[in-house]
Amino acid sequence: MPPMPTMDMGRDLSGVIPELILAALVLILLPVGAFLPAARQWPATALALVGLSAAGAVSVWMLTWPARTVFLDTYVIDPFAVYFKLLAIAATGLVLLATVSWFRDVPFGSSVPAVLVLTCLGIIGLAASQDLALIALFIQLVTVGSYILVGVVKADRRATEGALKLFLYSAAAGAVMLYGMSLLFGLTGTLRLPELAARLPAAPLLAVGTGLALLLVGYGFKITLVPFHSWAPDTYEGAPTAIAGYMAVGPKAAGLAVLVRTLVVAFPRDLLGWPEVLAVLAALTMTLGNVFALRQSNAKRLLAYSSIGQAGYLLVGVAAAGRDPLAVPGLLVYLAVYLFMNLGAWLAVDALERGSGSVHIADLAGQGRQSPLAAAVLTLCLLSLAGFPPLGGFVGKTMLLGAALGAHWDWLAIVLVANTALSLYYYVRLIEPLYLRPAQQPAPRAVPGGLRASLLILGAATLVSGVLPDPLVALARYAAHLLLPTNVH
Amino acid sequence: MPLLTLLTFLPLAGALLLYLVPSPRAWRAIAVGVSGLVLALSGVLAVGFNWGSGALQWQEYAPWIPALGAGYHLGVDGLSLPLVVLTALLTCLSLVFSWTQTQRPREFFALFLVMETGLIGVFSALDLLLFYVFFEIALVPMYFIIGGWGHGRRLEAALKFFLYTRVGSLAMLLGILALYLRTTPRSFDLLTILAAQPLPGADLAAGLVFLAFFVGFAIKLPVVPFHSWLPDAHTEAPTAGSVILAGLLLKLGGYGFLRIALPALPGAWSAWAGPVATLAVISAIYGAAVAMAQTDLKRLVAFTSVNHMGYVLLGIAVAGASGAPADRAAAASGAAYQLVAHGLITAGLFFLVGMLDERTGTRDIARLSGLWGALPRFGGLFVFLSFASLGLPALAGFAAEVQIVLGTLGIYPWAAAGMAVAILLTTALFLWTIQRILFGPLPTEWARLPALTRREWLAVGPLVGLTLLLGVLPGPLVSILEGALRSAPLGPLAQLLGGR
Repeated sequence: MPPMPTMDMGRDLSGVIPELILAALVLILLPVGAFLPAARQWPATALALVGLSAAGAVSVWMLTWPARTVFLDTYVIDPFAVYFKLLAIAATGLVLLATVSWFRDVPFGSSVPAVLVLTCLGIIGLAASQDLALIALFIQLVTVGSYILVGVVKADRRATEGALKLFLYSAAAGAVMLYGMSLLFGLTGTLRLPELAARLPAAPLLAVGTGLALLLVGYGFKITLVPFHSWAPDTYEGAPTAIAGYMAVGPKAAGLAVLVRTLVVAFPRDLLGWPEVLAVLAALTMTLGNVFALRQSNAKRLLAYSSIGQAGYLLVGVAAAGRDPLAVPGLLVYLAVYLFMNLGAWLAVDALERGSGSVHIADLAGQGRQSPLAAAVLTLCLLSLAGFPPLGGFVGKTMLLGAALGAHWDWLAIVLVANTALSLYYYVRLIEPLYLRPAQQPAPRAVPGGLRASLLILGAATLVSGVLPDPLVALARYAAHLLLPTNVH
Repeated sequence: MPLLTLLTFLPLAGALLLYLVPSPRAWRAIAVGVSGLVLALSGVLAVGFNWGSGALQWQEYAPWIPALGAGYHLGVDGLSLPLVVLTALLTCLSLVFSWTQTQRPREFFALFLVMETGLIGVFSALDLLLFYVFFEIALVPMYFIIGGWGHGRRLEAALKFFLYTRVGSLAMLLGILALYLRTTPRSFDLLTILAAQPLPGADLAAGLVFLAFFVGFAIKLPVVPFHSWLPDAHTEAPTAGSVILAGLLLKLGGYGFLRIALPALPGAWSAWAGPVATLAVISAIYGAAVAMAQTDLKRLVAFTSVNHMGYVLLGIAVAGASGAPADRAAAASGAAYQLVAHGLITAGLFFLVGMLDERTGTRDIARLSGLWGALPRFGGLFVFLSFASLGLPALAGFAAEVQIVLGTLGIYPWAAAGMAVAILLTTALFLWTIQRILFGPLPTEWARLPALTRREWLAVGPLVGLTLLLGVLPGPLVSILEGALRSAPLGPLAQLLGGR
């Protein structure tokens, strides 16, 4: 019998300072938002940004801490988890900045900053949990936050439809996932991933496989893994555009984090051939997302399918984890860059939509001259999503492609390349009207300052992460390197 | 002094400068000024180059992504130096020619300057990841140039160009990654990879990597059957865009073969040289034959590029085949020479077609006739460059073609015969074209066409002069090309012939 882990409250709490800050922030923001007049909501956003910055600063400091677990070995503080803390905080902060005063005319719009921070807390928790019960809890937290954010504009029927679809889908996927977790618990008598790793090889394969497959349903729902993706286009289309961008980045990152941790820590890689299964799912996800994106006429739906395709690329990193040293670092680099470029693209569409009132591709004509900043950031982010150098997406994609080749999955590398080529076709369908077609509408309204700032930051980050990627690559390698030793314990 | 870095990024800085200066009157001066400065600096590079050896010079190195084994490694040898100078020259001349550009001039000039950065970067990069980065930087602006300033079916042509070349560059990326993964420790550095020779044989792995590179560079070159993007792109692009497309972007394919694919995969090349030579001959004959059938003068010139790049590929194939070293060296050097010669000649021809289009508003050969009477000097230039293109002795194209034919004759006599047929067809094509548009009755509508302006002379004159110079005096260029091709580890001949 290994010694029971013990709890030292002071030591344990010191490991979750960012989480505590965010939790306190949620509790403060809820009443503050309600008390502020609808026209002056910016102090709530400012407060949220200050709190996020504080949590981010502590997280940066935590990068240097040695990896350890807290709360009876259920919650991990390692660079891998901290990396996701930073991603979640950055994404939340940028969306907050972009939506300043956007929800002021919406009933209960004042709760948006609090709910965003709450969702951020869920993402952070998910990336650090190594206990199935905690994972289930945080997945629910992320889902509830997303559900409120998508449906907050109640007057919009499509938003309500999107929120409802998300809710029903998440309820079903969550139930299936919990059943899988209970199966695994029944087989091994534990919920903790490191102990699962020790006991699973002795359990009957069929039952383990069933448990894993059911678990994948819940995770796959978050990642928009095909075939559990079908909620995403409708939900993203119905959601306020900036929120859709957040959904496509934050919860997806959380899902990938928990998928990587679960598989790498709990499931030995020769068990059931899960890497091969995941490689096939990655190929399916990217192909289906890209093929469906080809014919969209609505920019939001196009980006929604593009986000599904991108999830396929990211899954290559999960599948090849342990087979090639480029895989997990490539996944982490691509996730960070994906945050920059995908959120950048969504927010740019948001800016164009606020100007022209439309998200139809045809109505983007001539916006390159009328809204130069948003159009330029959109073009930059789309070229990066298509994998063009010297933009961040190229670095991440090259690493993932290298991982697929290094794992001796030449077919997967070719599928990835074919999809990348295919994706250019629909990304160009967005770029072409911006610059190469004449404007059909009068000059649009100006873009608000907060959104401009977010766009500038995301555009610059997309460019810098491609021109000088070494710090990001080094950080990702560091974070990935320390993922494994935590389960040695 | 980091002259190569300066050369590479000066155009980019110029493009940024365009966006800092609000006065539209200053833009064209900035564009021409910056590209002129780049041309002058490339002259400094050439003068400082050791013409006695042709081996790698002007090297620069800085860490870039050490975590991935990629470095910022630049340098030029006898193969890349002429192409760097050609890039600087053609970009400068294109911008001079576009002096009167009135439609969104700032974006137009900026795109050309960004493209120049990409092209100079490609020709001087010695790290494969960096090579790929510059390769794409050189391609993306062309999409916007064709789509934004092109003729009739510009959007279709631009999209076709973009997608086609993207497929090519991604195939090349697969090849690059395969070389990277097989080098221990993993490295993108070209010198390291070539010294390590990770795939020297002709096994399946080498064959697949060869296929990846072949598709990548064959689309760029282009080789039949990967050529179908070319006629549309060249025809719909604005004149300056066609000049860069034909003069420089096509050279990326030939340069890529000589710089990467040939020296890194010597075994696979030997195994596949025959089929490649067959494709090359088909390309050369097909390009000439289809050019004959064209009714649009610009499309006709575009198809002659397919024909000429067929010669280039033939030279490269022969260089990789097994046979007498002297023949292979001659063929490789002829292919490299053809890259430069075709860059000068075809760029000039596209300028001339553009001038004609601006004056008459048509490129329809059926409507053009007797132009010698209206524009005698234009006629003289057109005849000169046509003769250069068909390979008249004492002009640049001849020096290239004679080397390729002589090299091929000893190894693939049938291919040499095929190339002779292609040259014959090209000759007939140009003579027929000259007869159709320059001679015959002059329609009254063309009787009063304005003479060539000083701007136009400035754009074409240097190309004509260099075509003559490289034809009369091929020695120095041949010597640095051969020096570069033979010096280890970068030269393909060193890998292929050096008794490794």
